[in-house]
Amino acid sequence: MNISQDLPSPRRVSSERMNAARRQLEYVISRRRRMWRWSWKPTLVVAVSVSMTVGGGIAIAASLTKGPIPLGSNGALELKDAPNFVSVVREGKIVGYVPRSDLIDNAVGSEVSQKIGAIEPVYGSNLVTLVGHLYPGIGFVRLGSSPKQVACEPIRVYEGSHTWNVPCSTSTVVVPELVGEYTPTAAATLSRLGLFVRVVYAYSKVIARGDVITVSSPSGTIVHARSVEVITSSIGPSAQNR
Amino acid sequence: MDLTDSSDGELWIMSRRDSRAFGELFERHADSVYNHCFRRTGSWSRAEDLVSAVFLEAWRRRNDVRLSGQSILPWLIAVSNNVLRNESRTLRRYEKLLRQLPRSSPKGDLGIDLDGRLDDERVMKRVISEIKSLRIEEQEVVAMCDWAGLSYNEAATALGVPVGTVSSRISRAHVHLRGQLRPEALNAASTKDAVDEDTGSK
Repeated sequence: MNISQDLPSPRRVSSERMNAARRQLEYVISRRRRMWRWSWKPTLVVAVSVSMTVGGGIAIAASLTKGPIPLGSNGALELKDAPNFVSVVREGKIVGYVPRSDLIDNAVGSEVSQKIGAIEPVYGSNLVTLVGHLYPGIGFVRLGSSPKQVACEPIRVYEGSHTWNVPCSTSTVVVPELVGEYTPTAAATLSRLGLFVRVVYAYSKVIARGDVITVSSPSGTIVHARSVEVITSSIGPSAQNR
Repeated sequence: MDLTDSSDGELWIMSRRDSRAFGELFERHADSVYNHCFRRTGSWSRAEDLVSAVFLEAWRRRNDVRLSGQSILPWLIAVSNNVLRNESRTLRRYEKLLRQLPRSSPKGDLGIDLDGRLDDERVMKRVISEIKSLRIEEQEVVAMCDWAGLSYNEAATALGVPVGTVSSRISRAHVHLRGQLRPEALNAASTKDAVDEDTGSK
């Protein structure tokens, strides 16, 4: 037997089946092509949206200002001129930036940030990526690290021509008597002791406007340096009591 | 543009945008694929189902296409081989589509045609039983080169193997079948082998 020469003669696919199969094939591949386009449409929309969001975010980030809070001619911090993101320095190097809105109270007439003492987010140089947090009394803690593992770093504070070091939290300080003091003076006193200060405001018939009504820790008590003291400052009597 | 004047390569490129181009490729090569599938299965009705499955599979694997010159037939034959190897799985994949196709209802003298088809199937099954002793790769190259008329180069491109591999598979197959070939066929096969070794084609 010859396996090549004894083969049956070739046949043709019946025209009926050929036409039906051709129509069906054309339908299937055109439908699949439509499905392919369909399936990609939402993906494309999502991709474009993500690109626009990320791109927009980067564009917005590029237009924001960052850096240290500038000092005025008298050497005081010019909070109103603070950049959008304030630089955070650790061991002489900038490690990130804290949003101004998280750091500084925008209330008109406020001279001391009400937000000092809260845990603040710190972003990388692109102002988008979160790199860590600022902990009160500890400073910058990189993302993924525990604040307990961060060694205390002494802080040097400048105020005009005066310089002083803020001791670590192992140090303790005695809270002075500040009731009735002018609020900025009281805040400066506490800052010199190495305490963070937060100011809140309240009506008072007794204490003059701008003076301290109370401090969160009573005078004479011992507190850890770098802890937060809340000063309640008078804004005078309420309208009903005038 | 008249699709019938276009080469396979042009139609294949067009088919990504125009399904009619793929239909034209189907019409152009369906008979060759049909006969190849029959020679591998020994059944005309199975071959009918397999033709559509082969083209659907070819479309599914359109990114793997290997054109030999401007003809897509060698690649379609190679796809047929894969479909035949996984026949039940492939047919199951396209079962819903294949069910919608009309069964063959030959016009004219149904009795004569049926007799002819049955005779073909009897002969083919005997031939298939003869080559069953070959390795599957050797069966495939025999079906591609000796039966479907592809050159060794075309078969090599379609299978993605060197021409020498096709040539050696064919030679081994012929040697294996030597006892079953008639003397004249044997001489023809030997002459063809010699030509192929020189030119790499039939």
